[in-house]
Amino acid sequence: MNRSPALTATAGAATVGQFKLTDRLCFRPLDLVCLLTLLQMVYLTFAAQSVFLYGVLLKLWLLALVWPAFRRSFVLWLSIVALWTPPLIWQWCNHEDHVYFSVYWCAALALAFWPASATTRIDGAEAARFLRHSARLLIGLCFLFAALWKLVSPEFTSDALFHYKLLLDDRFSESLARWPGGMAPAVLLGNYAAVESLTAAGSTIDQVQLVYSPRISWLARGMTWWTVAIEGFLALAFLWPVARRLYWIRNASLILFAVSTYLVAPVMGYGFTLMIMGLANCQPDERKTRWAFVIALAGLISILLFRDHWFPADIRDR
Amino acid sequence: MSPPVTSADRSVAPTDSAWRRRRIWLVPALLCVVAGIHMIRHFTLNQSSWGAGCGFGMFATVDHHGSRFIRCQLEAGQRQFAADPGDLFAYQQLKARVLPTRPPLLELARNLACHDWLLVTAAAPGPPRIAVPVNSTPQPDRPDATPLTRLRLELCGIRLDPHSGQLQRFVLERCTVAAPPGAVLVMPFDPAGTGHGPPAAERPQRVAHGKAGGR
Repeated sequence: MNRSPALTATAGAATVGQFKLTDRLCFRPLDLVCLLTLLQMVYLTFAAQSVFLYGVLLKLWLLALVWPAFRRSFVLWLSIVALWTPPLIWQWCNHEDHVYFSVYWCAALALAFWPASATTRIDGAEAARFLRHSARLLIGLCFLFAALWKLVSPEFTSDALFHYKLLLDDRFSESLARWPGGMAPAVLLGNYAAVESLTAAGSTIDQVQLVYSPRISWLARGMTWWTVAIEGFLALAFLWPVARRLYWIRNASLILFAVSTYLVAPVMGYGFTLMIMGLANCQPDERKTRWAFVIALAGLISILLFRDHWFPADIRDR
Repeated sequence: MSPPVTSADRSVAPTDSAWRRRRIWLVPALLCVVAGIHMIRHFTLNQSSWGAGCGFGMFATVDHHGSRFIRCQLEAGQRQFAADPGDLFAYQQLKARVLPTRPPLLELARNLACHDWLLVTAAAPGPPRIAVPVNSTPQPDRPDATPLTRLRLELCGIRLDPHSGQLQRFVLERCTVAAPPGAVLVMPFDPAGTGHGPPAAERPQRVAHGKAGGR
């Protein structure tokens, strides 16, 4: 069997203390998945403004960067799950879906590196197989629930959600409502003012009229059915057992989803986790696909960093 | 032929290889349970479908905690005033918006009713004067302080009709609580008789409890 050197049994733990440069550079797929996941958790703690967790996770990431066996250790991933679980239980209102999703992924990593016994080394190939399977199931289930929610929500199927988002969510109005939606900035600002008058303290108004062009309605309709179609397809592609030669469809549709969604609504916590899981889901010989996920991940990071410079700021700074 | 399985055999813990095979389903099962509970709570308790908790209902409904808002009204003597709690008890406000049931709204109302309030000129559209919370020393000795009698909260959601473009508010939950003795509404003397309180710039600093959330 032509097995990738990255997935051979003694990788990581076996080389501790031998100062192998390849291990230090961490370009092996399994190591890359571990390090990117840790970095993602550092980003999430930063975004959640949790100073204590941020400090701890940053130190763990630095340690994992220089110590290959540590990044493949059950203890590391269990610790991350243990650190994140109390806030997710006791302050569940404060945390969004993607934080839970990332912690599920860390739990999968902990189980992947579960040692057979205290003295047995971690089998890198088995851990990679476990993670491939876990990533496939988690991605599939996430999109299954997402598609189900949308299909059972009348507000979604009637296009109300995307009308609302296009008109009153900065991210959508900056990037889509002006062009191709054809909305003048003054009209968009008028809609924002109308909503503020409805929700202001002491307001006695019960309804307001929003103004929009027919193109917004077409756009909302297209986005509604595109979202249901791509999410439903992803659920099916990842949960339905398909032939090996069709795996590329899964990966391509996941990247297409990320590009079409996060370019408009940069919910980076989800984007990063999905790309890392996509990377983990790659077969050992899918080298080009792995690169595609790494490039998509880099693209998401650049969106996060530079998006504010791409769109006019008058809506955002209203 | 294999020997019959006895109850003693069944009580033996699964072998390591069996555990290694089965552990793959643990996290996906947890995901399904948590997301399923979230879905049930959405349909039975109106819990926000996305943005808080883990139901994977991202961008599924207009009505979620990010679009919900609270209307607050104070009663002092025979008069009623609109109030803006701002970030006061932010986490409780968030909890009430995420799970719009009576207990979290009552808890929030009771806490808000314990506060002293000050009538100021409103900056936003709406009534000319609005009450904002004060976090300074107790106010009952001030001559312009009136004892609070009641506080009313309304938790509202919005719905959009995509055909007409009408955005409507609707009430998800409401409650009224009696204010405890000592809580006051300060109505500063208005020599010009404009009916306006001090300008917004002179408003006292507000106290923030917890952290605001929502996407």
